[in-house]
Amino acid sequence: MTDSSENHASQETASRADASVDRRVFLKKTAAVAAGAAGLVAALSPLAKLERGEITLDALLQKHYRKLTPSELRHILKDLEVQCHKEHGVRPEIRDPRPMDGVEFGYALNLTRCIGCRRCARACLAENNQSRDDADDLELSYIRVLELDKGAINLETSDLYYDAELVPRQGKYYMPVQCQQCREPPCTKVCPVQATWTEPDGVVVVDYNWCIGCRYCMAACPYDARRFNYVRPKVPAEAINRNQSYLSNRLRRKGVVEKCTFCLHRTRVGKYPACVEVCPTGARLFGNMLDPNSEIGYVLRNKRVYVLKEEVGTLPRFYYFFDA
Amino acid sequence: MCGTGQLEETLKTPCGTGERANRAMVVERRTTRIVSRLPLHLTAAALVAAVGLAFVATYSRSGTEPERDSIPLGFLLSSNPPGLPVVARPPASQPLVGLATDSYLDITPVRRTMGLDLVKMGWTYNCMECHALLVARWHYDRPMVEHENIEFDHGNNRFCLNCHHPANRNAFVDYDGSEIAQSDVVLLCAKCHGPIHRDWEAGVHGRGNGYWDEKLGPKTRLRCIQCHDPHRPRFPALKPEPPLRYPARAANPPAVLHPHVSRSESHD
Repeated sequence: MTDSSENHASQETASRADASVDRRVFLKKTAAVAAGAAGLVAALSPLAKLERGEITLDALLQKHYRKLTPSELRHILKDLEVQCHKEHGVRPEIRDPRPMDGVEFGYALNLTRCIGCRRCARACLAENNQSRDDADDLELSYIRVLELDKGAINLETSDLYYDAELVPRQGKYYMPVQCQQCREPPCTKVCPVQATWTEPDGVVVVDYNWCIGCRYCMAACPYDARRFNYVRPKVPAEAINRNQSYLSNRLRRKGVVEKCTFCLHRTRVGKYPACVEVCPTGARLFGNMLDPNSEIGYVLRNKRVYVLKEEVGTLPRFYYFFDA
Repeated sequence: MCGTGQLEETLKTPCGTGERANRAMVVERRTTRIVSRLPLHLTAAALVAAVGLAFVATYSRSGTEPERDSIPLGFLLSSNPPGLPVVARPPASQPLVGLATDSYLDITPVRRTMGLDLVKMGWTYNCMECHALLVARWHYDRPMVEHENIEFDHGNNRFCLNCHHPANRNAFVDYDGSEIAQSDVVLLCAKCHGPIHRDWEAGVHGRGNGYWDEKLGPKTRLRCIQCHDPHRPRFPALKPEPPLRYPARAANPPAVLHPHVSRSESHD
Protein backbone atom coordinates (compact mmCIF):
# COMPACT_ATOMS: atom_id res chain seq x y z
CA MET A 1 0.00 0.00 0.00
CA THR A 2 2.61 2.38 1.04
CA ASP A 3 4.84 1.15 -1.79
CA SER A 4 2.24 1.74 -4.50
CA SER A 5 1.41 5.21 -3.27
CA GLU A 6 5.08 6.02 -3.20
CA ASN A 7 5.47 4.65 -6.73
CA HIS A 8 2.50 6.58 -7.92
CA ALA A 9 3.85 9.78 -6.52
CA SER A 10 7.31 9.17 -7.84
CA GLN A 11 6.03 8.58 -11.36
CA GLU A 12 4.26 11.89 -11.36
CA THR A 13 7.24 13.62 -9.96
CA ALA A 14 9.47 11.88 -12.43
CA SER A 15 7.48 12.96 -15.42
CA ARG A 16 7.32 16.51 -14.20
CA ALA A 17 10.98 16.36 -13.37
CA ASP A 18 11.84 14.96 -16.79
CA ALA A 19 10.17 17.86 -18.51
CA SER A 20 11.90 20.47 -16.35
CA VAL A 21 15.28 18.74 -16.55
CA ASP A 22 15.20 19.19 -20.30
CA ARG A 23 14.69 22.90 -19.97
CA ARG A 24 17.20 23.18 -17.17
CA VAL A 25 19.84 21.27 -19.08
CA PHE A 26 19.25 23.42 -22.10
CA LEU A 27 19.60 26.62 -20.05
CA LYS A 28 22.68 25.29 -18.31
CA LYS A 29 24.34 24.38 -21.56
CA THR A 30 23.48 27.71 -23.10
CA ALA A 31 24.86 29.56 -20.11
CA ALA A 32 28.01 27.46 -20.12
CA VAL A 33 28.58 28.06 -23.79
CA ALA A 34 27.97 31.78 -23.41
CA ALA A 35 30.31 32.00 -20.42
CA GLY A 36 32.93 29.97 -22.22
CA ALA A 37 32.72 32.17 -25.28
CA ALA A 38 32.92 35.32 -23.18
CA GLY A 39 35.87 33.90 -21.29
CA LEU A 40 37.62 32.99 -24.49
CA VAL A 41 37.12 36.47 -25.88
CA ALA A 42 38.37 37.97 -22.62
CA ALA A 43 41.35 35.64 -22.55
CA LEU A 44 42.24 36.51 -26.11
CA SER A 45 41.71 40.24 -25.74
CA PRO A 46 45.40 40.85 -24.93
CA LEU A 47 46.17 39.27 -28.28
CA ALA A 48 43.77 41.68 -29.93
CA LYS A 49 45.52 44.54 -28.12
CA LEU A 50 48.80 43.11 -29.28
CA GLU A 51 47.45 43.02 -32.82
CA ARG A 52 46.39 46.66 -32.58
CA GLY A 53 49.78 47.65 -31.17
CA GLU A 54 48.40 48.79 -27.82
CA ILE A 55 50.82 46.54 -25.97
CA THR A 56 54.09 44.98 -26.97
CA LEU A 57 54.92 41.32 -26.92
CA ASP A 58 57.45 41.96 -24.17
CA ALA A 59 54.81 43.61 -22.02
CA LEU A 60 52.38 40.76 -22.66
CA LEU A 61 54.91 38.10 -21.71
CA GLN A 62 56.54 40.16 -18.94
CA LYS A 63 57.64 38.28 -15.86
CA HIS A 64 57.21 39.61 -12.34
CA TYR A 65 59.32 42.71 -11.79
CA ARG A 66 61.53 41.02 -9.23
CA LYS A 67 62.35 38.19 -11.63
CA LEU A 68 63.36 40.41 -14.54
CA THR A 69 66.90 40.35 -15.81
CA PRO A 70 68.55 43.75 -16.33
CA SER A 71 68.29 43.48 -20.11
CA GLU A 72 64.61 42.54 -19.96
CA LEU A 73 63.99 45.50 -17.69
CA ARG A 74 65.83 47.81 -20.07
CA HIS A 75 63.59 46.66 -22.90
CA ILE A 76 60.49 47.24 -20.82
CA LEU A 77 61.59 50.73 -19.78
CA LYS A 78 62.27 51.56 -23.41
CA ASP A 79 58.86 50.25 -24.46
CA LEU A 80 57.19 52.28 -21.73
CA GLU A 81 58.94 55.42 -22.94
CA VAL A 82 57.76 54.80 -26.48
CA GLN A 83 54.25 54.03 -25.30
CA CYS A 84 54.10 57.20 -23.21
CA HIS A 85 55.29 59.20 -26.20
CA LYS A 86 52.57 57.66 -28.33
CA GLU A 87 49.78 58.16 -25.79
CA HIS A 88 50.70 61.47 -24.22
CA GLY A 89 52.99 63.13 -26.71
CA VAL A 90 55.87 63.41 -24.28
CA ARG A 91 58.97 61.25 -24.29
CA PRO A 92 59.92 60.63 -20.63
CA GLU A 93 63.12 59.21 -19.24
CA ILE A 94 62.07 56.16 -17.26
CA ARG A 95 64.74 54.79 -14.98
CA ASP A 96 64.75 52.20 -12.28
CA PRO A 97 66.86 53.52 -9.40
CA ARG A 98 67.60 50.78 -6.89
CA PRO A 99 67.55 51.12 -3.10
CA MET A 100 70.79 52.47 -1.65
CA ASP A 101 72.83 50.29 0.68
CA GLY A 102 72.49 51.09 4.37
CA VAL A 103 69.48 53.33 3.82
CA GLU A 104 66.06 53.00 5.34
CA PHE A 105 63.88 55.99 4.72
CA GLY A 106 61.94 57.65 7.49
CA TYR A 107 59.67 60.64 7.49
CA ALA A 108 58.71 63.00 10.28
CA LEU A 109 56.07 65.67 10.28
CA ASN A 110 56.02 68.52 12.76
CA LEU A 111 52.36 69.21 13.45
CA THR A 112 53.20 72.42 15.29
CA ARG A 113 54.63 73.88 12.11
CA CYS A 114 52.11 72.60 9.57
CA ILE A 115 49.73 75.39 8.58
CA GLY A 116 47.52 73.35 6.26
CA CYS A 117 48.35 75.22 3.05
CA ARG A 118 48.13 72.04 0.91
CA ARG A 119 51.26 72.97 -1.02
CA CYS A 120 52.45 69.41 -0.47
CA ALA A 121 49.31 67.86 -1.95
CA ARG A 122 49.62 70.09 -4.98
CA ALA A 123 53.33 69.41 -5.45
CA CYS A 124 52.63 65.70 -5.27
CA LEU A 125 50.58 66.04 -8.45
CA ALA A 126 53.31 67.93 -10.27
CA GLU A 127 55.89 65.36 -9.27
CA ASN A 128 54.05 62.10 -9.65
CA ASN A 129 51.97 62.57 -12.81
CA GLN A 130 48.65 61.67 -11.23
CA SER A 131 45.56 61.82 -13.37
CA ARG A 132 43.58 65.04 -12.89
CA ASP A 133 40.67 66.79 -14.54
CA ASP A 134 42.37 70.16 -14.09
CA ALA A 135 45.23 71.66 -12.13
CA ASP A 136 43.14 72.01 -8.96
CA ASP A 137 41.94 68.42 -8.91
CA LEU A 138 43.59 66.85 -5.86
CA GLU A 139 41.60 63.63 -6.06
CA LEU A 140 44.59 61.40 -6.79
CA SER A 141 47.15 63.32 -4.78
CA TYR A 142 48.81 60.96 -2.32
CA ILE A 143 48.47 63.52 0.48
CA ARG A 144 45.30 64.38 2.34
CA VAL A 145 45.49 67.33 4.75
CA LEU A 146 43.09 67.04 7.67
CA GLU A 147 41.93 69.98 9.74
CA LEU A 148 41.25 69.26 13.41
CA ASP A 149 40.24 71.30 16.42
CA LYS A 150 43.16 71.98 18.70
CA GLY A 151 43.17 69.24 21.29
CA ALA A 152 41.18 66.84 19.14
CA ILE A 153 42.83 63.51 18.49
CA ASN A 154 40.00 61.56 16.90
CA LEU A 155 40.44 61.67 13.14
CA GLU A 156 36.73 61.07 12.69
CA THR A 157 36.25 64.68 13.77
CA SER A 158 38.64 65.96 11.12
CA ASP A 159 37.66 67.99 8.08
CA LEU A 160 39.21 67.09 4.77
CA TYR A 161 37.38 69.70 2.72
CA TYR A 162 38.21 72.87 4.68
CA ASP A 163 38.13 75.86 2.39
CA ALA A 164 39.62 78.83 4.18
CA GLU A 165 40.65 82.23 2.91
CA LEU A 166 43.82 82.03 4.96
CA VAL A 167 45.39 79.23 6.95
CA PRO A 168 46.08 78.39 9.74
CA ARG A 169 42.64 79.11 11.11
CA GLN A 170 42.14 80.08 14.72
CA GLY A 171 41.83 77.08 17.03
CA LYS A 172 42.70 74.49 14.38
CA TYR A 173 45.64 72.29 13.65
CA TYR A 174 46.45 70.43 10.49
CA MET A 175 47.54 66.88 9.90
CA PRO A 176 48.66 65.73 6.46
CA VAL A 177 48.25 62.00 5.94
CA GLN A 178 49.91 59.96 3.24
CA CYS A 179 51.34 56.46 2.90
CA GLN A 180 52.99 55.57 6.19
CA GLN A 181 55.34 53.03 4.52
CA CYS A 182 54.54 50.49 7.22
CA ARG A 183 56.97 47.84 8.39
CA GLU A 184 53.97 45.48 8.60
CA PRO A 185 51.95 46.68 5.63
CA PRO A 186 48.49 45.10 5.43
CA CYS A 187 48.18 46.22 1.82
CA THR A 188 50.95 43.99 0.51
CA LYS A 189 49.68 40.97 2.41
CA VAL A 190 46.29 41.02 0.73
CA CYS A 191 47.50 41.44 -2.82
CA PRO A 192 46.51 38.25 -4.66
CA VAL A 193 49.17 38.66 -7.35
CA GLN A 194 52.06 40.20 -5.35
CA ALA A 195 51.95 43.35 -7.40
CA THR A 196 52.86 45.39 -4.31
CA TRP A 197 55.70 44.80 -1.88
CA THR A 198 58.19 46.49 0.45
CA GLU A 199 61.56 47.42 -0.99
CA PRO A 200 64.76 47.08 1.07
CA ASP A 201 64.81 50.82 1.81
CA GLY A 202 61.35 50.61 3.32
CA VAL A 203 59.27 51.96 0.47
CA VAL A 204 56.09 50.08 -0.37
CA VAL A 205 55.78 50.05 -4.15
CA VAL A 206 53.26 48.94 -6.76
CA ASP A 207 54.12 47.41 -10.13
CA TYR A 208 51.53 49.00 -12.38
CA ASN A 209 52.20 46.39 -15.06
CA TRP A 210 51.35 43.61 -12.63
CA CYS A 211 48.40 45.14 -10.75
CA ILE A 212 45.03 43.60 -11.65
CA GLY A 213 43.02 46.41 -10.06
CA CYS A 214 41.15 44.35 -7.47
CA ARG A 215 41.62 47.12 -4.87
CA TYR A 216 42.01 44.68 -1.97
CA CYS A 217 45.00 46.77 -0.90
CA MET A 218 42.86 49.89 -0.73
CA ALA A 219 40.44 48.10 1.53
CA ALA A 220 43.28 46.84 3.71
CA CYS A 221 45.05 50.18 4.15
CA PRO A 222 44.04 51.88 7.43
CA TYR A 223 45.35 55.25 6.21
CA ASP A 224 43.48 55.75 2.93
CA ALA A 225 46.86 56.02 1.29
CA ARG A 226 46.14 54.31 -2.01
CA ARG A 227 44.43 55.73 -5.07
CA PHE A 228 42.75 53.95 -7.95
CA ASN A 229 42.66 54.95 -11.60
CA TYR A 230 39.00 54.58 -12.35
CA VAL A 231 39.47 56.25 -15.72
CA ARG A 232 42.28 56.43 -18.22
CA PRO A 233 44.75 58.85 -16.63
CA LYS A 234 44.50 62.39 -17.92
CA VAL A 235 47.65 64.47 -17.49
CA PRO A 236 48.22 67.57 -19.62
CA ALA A 237 51.28 67.01 -21.78
CA GLU A 238 52.97 70.21 -20.58
CA ALA A 239 52.50 69.15 -16.95
CA ILE A 240 54.12 65.74 -17.30
CA ASN A 241 57.21 65.29 -15.19
CA ARG A 242 59.67 63.60 -17.53
CA ASN A 243 61.91 62.33 -14.78
CA GLN A 244 60.16 59.03 -14.16
CA SER A 245 60.84 55.64 -12.72
CA TYR A 246 59.28 52.24 -13.16
CA LEU A 247 58.07 51.85 -9.59
CA SER A 248 57.00 55.42 -8.90
CA ASN A 249 55.79 58.20 -11.14
CA ARG A 250 55.64 56.77 -14.65
CA LEU A 251 52.25 57.27 -16.22
CA ARG A 252 49.73 54.69 -15.09
CA ARG A 253 47.05 52.94 -17.07
CA LYS A 254 43.38 52.64 -16.28
CA GLY A 255 42.47 50.16 -13.58
CA VAL A 256 45.61 50.15 -11.44
CA VAL A 257 46.30 51.25 -7.89
CA GLU A 258 48.96 53.82 -7.08
CA LYS A 259 50.43 55.29 -3.92
CA CYS A 260 53.13 57.46 -2.36
CA THR A 261 56.61 56.05 -2.87
CA PHE A 262 58.49 58.80 -0.99
CA CYS A 263 59.27 60.02 -4.54
CA LEU A 264 61.78 57.21 -4.89
CA HIS A 265 62.96 58.52 -8.27
CA ARG A 266 64.20 61.55 -6.28
CA THR A 267 65.06 60.09 -2.92
CA ARG A 268 67.09 57.18 -4.27
CA VAL A 269 69.43 59.65 -5.91
CA GLY A 270 69.74 61.63 -2.69
CA LYS A 271 67.17 64.37 -3.19
CA TYR A 272 64.30 65.30 -0.91
CA PRO A 273 60.77 64.23 -1.88
CA ALA A 274 58.66 66.87 -3.61
CA CYS A 275 56.46 67.45 -0.56
CA VAL A 276 59.51 68.30 1.54
CA GLU A 277 60.82 70.63 -1.16
CA VAL A 278 57.69 72.75 -1.24
CA CYS A 279 56.73 72.80 2.43
CA PRO A 280 57.00 76.53 3.21
CA THR A 281 57.31 76.05 6.96
CA GLY A 282 59.76 73.17 7.04
CA ALA A 283 57.24 70.97 8.84
CA ARG A 284 58.29 67.97 6.78
CA LEU A 285 61.50 66.12 7.50
CA PHE A 286 62.97 63.24 5.61
CA GLY A 287 66.07 61.15 5.76
CA ASN A 288 67.87 57.92 6.42
CA MET A 289 66.80 56.40 9.73
CA LEU A 290 69.91 54.21 9.85
CA ASP A 291 72.15 57.28 9.90
CA PRO A 292 72.36 58.61 13.46
CA ASN A 293 73.43 62.04 12.20
CA SER A 294 70.45 62.48 9.95
CA GLU A 295 67.62 64.90 10.63
CA ILE A 296 65.19 62.04 11.08
CA GLY A 297 67.58 60.41 13.55
CA TYR A 298 67.64 63.61 15.59
CA VAL A 299 63.85 63.76 15.61
CA LEU A 300 63.48 60.16 16.72
CA ARG A 301 65.95 60.69 19.55
CA ASN A 302 64.86 64.11 20.76
CA LYS A 303 61.18 64.61 19.95
CA ARG A 304 58.18 62.81 21.33
CA VAL A 305 57.06 61.21 18.11
CA TYR A 306 53.95 59.14 17.64
CA VAL A 307 52.53 57.10 14.80
CA LEU A 308 49.06 57.11 13.38
CA LYS A 309 46.74 54.29 14.46
CA GLU A 310 49.43 52.59 16.48
CA GLU A 311 46.87 50.05 17.69
CA VAL A 312 46.50 48.42 14.29
CA GLY A 313 50.08 47.21 14.44
CA THR A 314 51.32 48.49 11.11
CA LEU A 315 54.56 49.97 12.52
CA PRO A 316 54.75 53.02 10.24
CA ARG A 317 57.98 54.64 9.08
CA PHE A 318 56.13 57.96 9.19
CA TYR A 319 56.24 59.85 12.48
CA TYR A 320 54.26 62.80 13.76
CA PHE A 321 55.38 65.09 16.54
CA PHE A 322 54.51 68.31 18.26
CA ASP A 323 57.16 70.85 19.04
CA ALA A 324 57.68 73.76 21.41
CA MET B 1 75.67 76.87 9.63
CA CYS B 2 75.12 75.43 6.26
CA GLY B 3 72.68 78.12 5.10
CA THR B 4 75.11 81.00 5.39
CA GLY B 5 77.22 80.25 2.36
CA GLN B 6 74.20 79.78 0.19
CA LEU B 7 72.73 83.14 1.10
CA GLU B 8 75.94 85.01 0.62
CA GLU B 9 76.33 83.49 -2.77
CA THR B 10 72.84 84.64 -3.61
CA LEU B 11 73.65 88.13 -2.44
CA LYS B 12 76.75 88.36 -4.55
CA THR B 13 75.11 87.06 -7.71
CA PRO B 14 73.08 89.69 -9.50
CA CYS B 15 71.00 87.03 -11.22
CA GLY B 16 69.46 84.67 -8.67
CA THR B 17 69.12 81.01 -9.52
CA GLY B 18 65.48 81.11 -10.44
CA GLU B 19 65.21 84.07 -12.77
CA ARG B 20 62.17 83.92 -14.98
CA ALA B 21 61.40 85.37 -18.37
CA ASN B 22 60.00 88.57 -16.93
CA ARG B 23 62.98 89.41 -14.81
CA ALA B 24 63.78 92.58 -16.72
CA MET B 25 60.30 93.83 -16.05
CA VAL B 26 60.63 92.99 -12.39
CA VAL B 27 63.88 94.89 -12.16
CA GLU B 28 62.22 97.96 -13.61
CA ARG B 29 59.29 97.76 -11.23
CA ARG B 30 61.60 97.47 -8.30
CA THR B 31 63.57 100.39 -9.62
CA THR B 32 60.45 102.48 -9.87
CA ARG B 33 59.62 101.69 -6.30
CA ILE B 34 63.05 102.59 -5.04
CA VAL B 35 63.15 105.76 -7.08
CA SER B 36 60.01 107.02 -5.46
CA ARG B 37 61.68 106.84 -2.09
CA LEU B 38 64.84 108.78 -2.92
CA PRO B 39 65.61 112.46 -3.09
CA LEU B 40 65.25 114.04 -6.51
CA HIS B 41 68.89 114.51 -7.25
CA LEU B 42 69.38 110.74 -6.98
CA THR B 43 66.34 109.92 -9.04
CA ALA B 44 67.87 110.71 -12.39
CA ALA B 45 70.98 108.69 -11.68
CA ALA B 46 68.97 105.73 -10.46
CA LEU B 47 66.74 105.86 -13.50
CA VAL B 48 69.68 105.79 -15.86
CA ALA B 49 71.11 102.90 -13.91
CA ALA B 50 67.81 101.07 -14.04
CA VAL B 51 67.47 101.42 -17.78
CA GLY B 52 71.02 100.23 -18.21
CA LEU B 53 70.41 97.32 -15.90
CA ALA B 54 67.26 96.39 -17.75
CA PHE B 55 69.12 96.33 -21.06
CA VAL B 56 71.88 94.24 -19.59
CA ALA B 57 69.37 91.90 -18.00
CA THR B 58 67.48 91.53 -21.24
CA TYR B 59 70.39 90.91 -23.57
CA SER B 60 73.21 89.49 -21.51
CA ARG B 61 71.52 86.07 -21.34
CA SER B 62 70.16 85.98 -24.87
CA GLY B 63 72.59 83.19 -25.69
CA THR B 64 71.03 80.84 -23.17
CA GLU B 65 67.43 81.90 -23.38
CA PRO B 66 65.02 82.35 -26.25
CA GLU B 67 64.96 85.83 -27.74
CA ARG B 68 62.28 88.12 -26.43
CA ASP B 69 59.92 89.83 -28.81
CA SER B 70 60.24 93.31 -27.48
CA ILE B 71 62.07 95.28 -24.85
CA PRO B 72 59.75 95.59 -21.87
CA LEU B 73 60.29 99.24 -21.16
CA GLY B 74 56.69 100.25 -21.65
CA PHE B 75 56.47 101.97 -18.32
CA LEU B 76 58.78 104.72 -19.53
CA LEU B 77 56.41 105.53 -22.36
CA SER B 78 53.21 105.20 -20.37
CA SER B 79 51.31 108.12 -18.92
CA ASN B 80 52.80 107.67 -15.45
CA PRO B 81 55.76 109.92 -14.85
CA PRO B 82 58.80 107.88 -13.91
CA GLY B 83 59.20 107.59 -10.20
CA LEU B 84 55.50 107.75 -9.50
CA PRO B 85 54.11 104.26 -9.76
CA VAL B 86 50.35 104.06 -9.71
CA VAL B 87 50.26 100.65 -8.14
CA ALA B 88 51.14 99.94 -4.55
CA ARG B 89 54.65 98.70 -4.00
CA PRO B 90 54.92 95.36 -5.78
CA PRO B 91 55.96 92.41 -3.67
CA ALA B 92 59.65 91.90 -3.45
CA SER B 93 61.00 88.65 -4.75
CA GLN B 94 63.01 85.94 -3.14
CA PRO B 95 65.48 83.77 -5.00
CA LEU B 96 64.36 80.17 -5.32
CA VAL B 97 65.82 77.76 -2.85
CA GLY B 98 67.00 74.27 -3.64
CA LEU B 99 67.87 72.92 -7.04
CA ALA B 100 67.27 74.73 -10.31
CA THR B 101 65.98 71.45 -11.76
CA ASP B 102 63.11 71.55 -9.29
CA SER B 103 61.71 74.81 -10.58
CA TYR B 104 58.51 73.02 -11.65
CA LEU B 105 57.78 72.75 -7.94
CA ASP B 106 56.79 75.78 -5.91
CA ILE B 107 60.09 76.30 -4.10
CA THR B 108 60.03 80.05 -3.59
CA PRO B 109 60.24 80.99 0.08
CA VAL B 110 57.14 82.82 1.24
CA ARG B 111 58.86 85.73 2.92
CA ARG B 112 59.16 88.82 0.77
CA THR B 113 62.34 90.63 1.65
CA MET B 114 63.16 94.03 0.26
CA GLY B 115 66.76 93.89 1.32
CA LEU B 116 67.71 91.23 -1.17
CA ASP B 117 66.17 93.25 -3.98
CA LEU B 118 68.23 96.27 -3.01
CA VAL B 119 71.37 94.22 -2.89
CA LYS B 120 70.63 92.64 -6.25
CA MET B 121 70.24 96.11 -7.71
CA GLY B 122 73.71 96.98 -6.61
CA TRP B 123 72.99 98.68 -3.31
CA THR B 124 74.93 97.73 -0.27
CA TYR B 125 73.45 96.83 3.04
CA ASN B 126 75.58 99.49 4.63
CA CYS B 127 73.24 101.09 7.14
CA MET B 128 76.07 103.31 8.34
CA GLU B 129 75.84 105.27 5.09
CA CYS B 130 73.09 107.18 6.84
CA HIS B 131 73.54 106.24 10.44
CA ALA B 132 77.02 107.65 10.66
CA LEU B 133 75.19 110.97 10.82
CA LEU B 134 72.09 109.81 12.68
CA VAL B 135 73.08 108.65 16.12
CA ALA B 136 71.02 106.16 18.06
CA ARG B 137 68.14 107.68 19.95
CA TRP B 138 66.62 106.11 22.97
CA HIS B 139 63.14 107.60 22.75
CA TYR B 140 61.09 104.49 22.61
CA ASP B 141 57.80 106.16 23.39
CA ARG B 142 57.68 108.40 20.37
CA PRO B 143 56.02 107.23 17.14
CA MET B 144 58.67 106.20 14.64
CA VAL B 145 58.92 108.59 11.71
CA GLU B 146 61.70 106.74 9.92
CA HIS B 147 61.55 103.13 8.65
CA GLU B 148 57.82 103.54 8.48
CA ASN B 149 57.32 100.30 6.62
CA ILE B 150 58.39 98.29 9.63
CA GLU B 151 55.45 96.74 11.42
CA PHE B 152 56.65 95.75 14.82
CA ASP B 153 55.12 92.76 16.54
CA HIS B 154 57.74 90.66 18.26
CA GLY B 155 56.16 89.93 21.61
CA ASN B 156 58.04 91.28 24.58
CA ASN B 157 61.00 92.13 22.42
CA ARG B 158 59.91 95.70 21.78
CA PHE B 159 63.08 97.77 21.59
CA CYS B 160 65.23 98.41 18.52
CA LEU B 161 68.46 98.14 20.41
CA ASN B 162 67.62 94.73 21.82
CA CYS B 163 68.83 93.47 18.48
CA HIS B 164 70.47 96.38 16.65
CA HIS B 165 73.86 97.56 17.80
CA PRO B 166 73.57 101.09 19.18
CA ALA B 167 76.80 102.35 17.60
CA ASN B 168 77.32 100.14 14.57
CA ARG B 169 74.12 99.82 12.57
CA ASN B 170 75.73 97.24 10.31
CA ALA B 171 75.81 94.80 13.18
CA PHE B 172 73.57 93.28 15.76
CA VAL B 173 74.23 93.33 19.43
CA ASP B 174 74.99 90.51 21.81
CA TYR B 175 74.07 90.40 25.50
CA ASP B 176 77.45 91.79 26.49
CA GLY B 177 77.26 94.66 23.99
CA SER B 178 79.64 93.06 21.52
CA GLU B 179 78.79 92.98 17.85
CA ILE B 180 77.16 90.13 15.93
CA ALA B 181 77.83 90.34 12.21
CA GLN B 182 74.88 90.60 9.86
CA SER B 183 75.76 87.26 8.36
CA ASP B 184 75.56 85.67 11.82
CA VAL B 185 71.96 86.70 12.36
CA VAL B 186 71.21 83.15 13.49
CA LEU B 187 73.31 83.76 16.59
CA LEU B 188 71.32 86.89 17.33
CA CYS B 189 68.04 84.98 17.28
CA ALA B 190 69.63 82.24 19.36
CA LYS B 191 69.98 84.74 22.20
CA CYS B 192 66.33 84.09 23.04
CA HIS B 193 65.29 81.11 20.93
CA GLY B 194 67.77 78.55 22.21
CA PRO B 195 65.84 75.32 21.70
CA ILE B 196 64.82 76.35 18.19
CA HIS B 197 68.38 77.26 17.37
CA ARG B 198 69.45 73.82 18.59
CA ASP B 199 66.87 72.21 16.29
CA TRP B 200 67.94 74.42 13.41
CA GLU B 201 71.55 73.38 13.86
CA ALA B 202 70.40 69.77 13.66
CA GLY B 203 68.49 70.57 10.48
CA VAL B 204 65.11 69.97 12.10
CA HIS B 205 63.75 73.51 12.29
CA GLY B 206 63.23 75.42 9.08
CA ARG B 207 62.93 74.62 5.48
CA GLY B 208 65.30 72.14 3.83
CA ASN B 209 65.86 71.82 0.12
CA GLY B 210 68.09 69.96 -2.27
CA TYR B 211 69.70 66.71 -1.20
CA TRP B 212 69.00 64.80 2.00
CA ASP B 213 72.25 62.95 1.37
CA GLU B 214 74.99 65.53 1.47
CA LYS B 215 77.42 63.08 -0.10
CA LEU B 216 75.39 63.27 -3.30
CA GLY B 217 74.62 66.96 -3.52
CA PRO B 218 74.11 70.25 -1.72
CA LYS B 219 71.51 70.81 0.93
CA THR B 220 70.21 74.30 1.51
CA ARG B 221 68.78 75.37 4.79
CA LEU B 222 67.31 78.82 5.14
CA ARG B 223 68.36 81.12 7.93
CA CYS B 224 65.90 82.63 10.42
CA ILE B 225 65.17 85.86 8.58
CA GLN B 226 64.63 84.17 5.22
CA CYS B 227 61.31 82.86 6.52
CA HIS B 228 60.55 85.10 9.48
CA ASP B 229 60.34 88.87 9.37
CA PRO B 230 62.48 89.71 12.40
CA HIS B 231 60.21 92.62 13.27
CA ARG B 232 57.12 90.47 12.97
CA PRO B 233 58.29 86.91 13.31
CA ARG B 234 55.02 85.01 13.28
CA PHE B 235 54.92 82.91 10.13
CA PRO B 236 52.45 84.63 7.79
CA ALA B 237 49.07 83.10 7.12
CA LEU B 238 48.84 81.77 3.58
CA LYS B 239 46.08 81.17 1.13
CA PRO B 240 45.70 77.41 0.91
CA GLU B 241 45.52 75.49 -2.31
CA PRO B 242 41.91 74.68 -3.24
CA PRO B 243 40.48 71.74 -1.33
CA LEU B 244 39.79 68.26 -2.53
CA ARG B 245 36.46 68.43 -4.28
CA TYR B 246 33.61 66.85 -2.46
CA PRO B 247 32.46 64.10 -4.81
CA ALA B 248 29.41 65.32 -6.71
CA ARG B 249 27.45 62.19 -5.91
CA ALA B 250 28.19 62.47 -2.21
CA ALA B 251 27.31 66.14 -2.19
CA ASN B 252 23.79 65.33 -3.42
CA PRO B 253 23.02 61.90 -2.02
CA PRO B 254 19.84 60.21 -3.14
CA ALA B 255 17.36 60.88 -0.33
CA VAL B 256 16.00 57.33 -0.20
CA LEU B 257 19.26 55.54 0.54
CA HIS B 258 19.99 56.64 4.08
CA PRO B 259 17.15 58.88 5.15
CA HIS B 260 18.19 58.62 8.80
CA VAL B 261 21.69 60.02 8.21
CA SER B 262 21.83 63.69 7.46
CA ARG B 263 24.78 65.06 5.54
CA SER B 264 26.05 67.19 8.38
CA GLU B 265 26.07 64.17 10.69
CA SER B 266 27.85 62.00 8.18
CA HIS B 267 31.03 64.04 7.98
CA ASP B 268 31.16 65.78 11.31
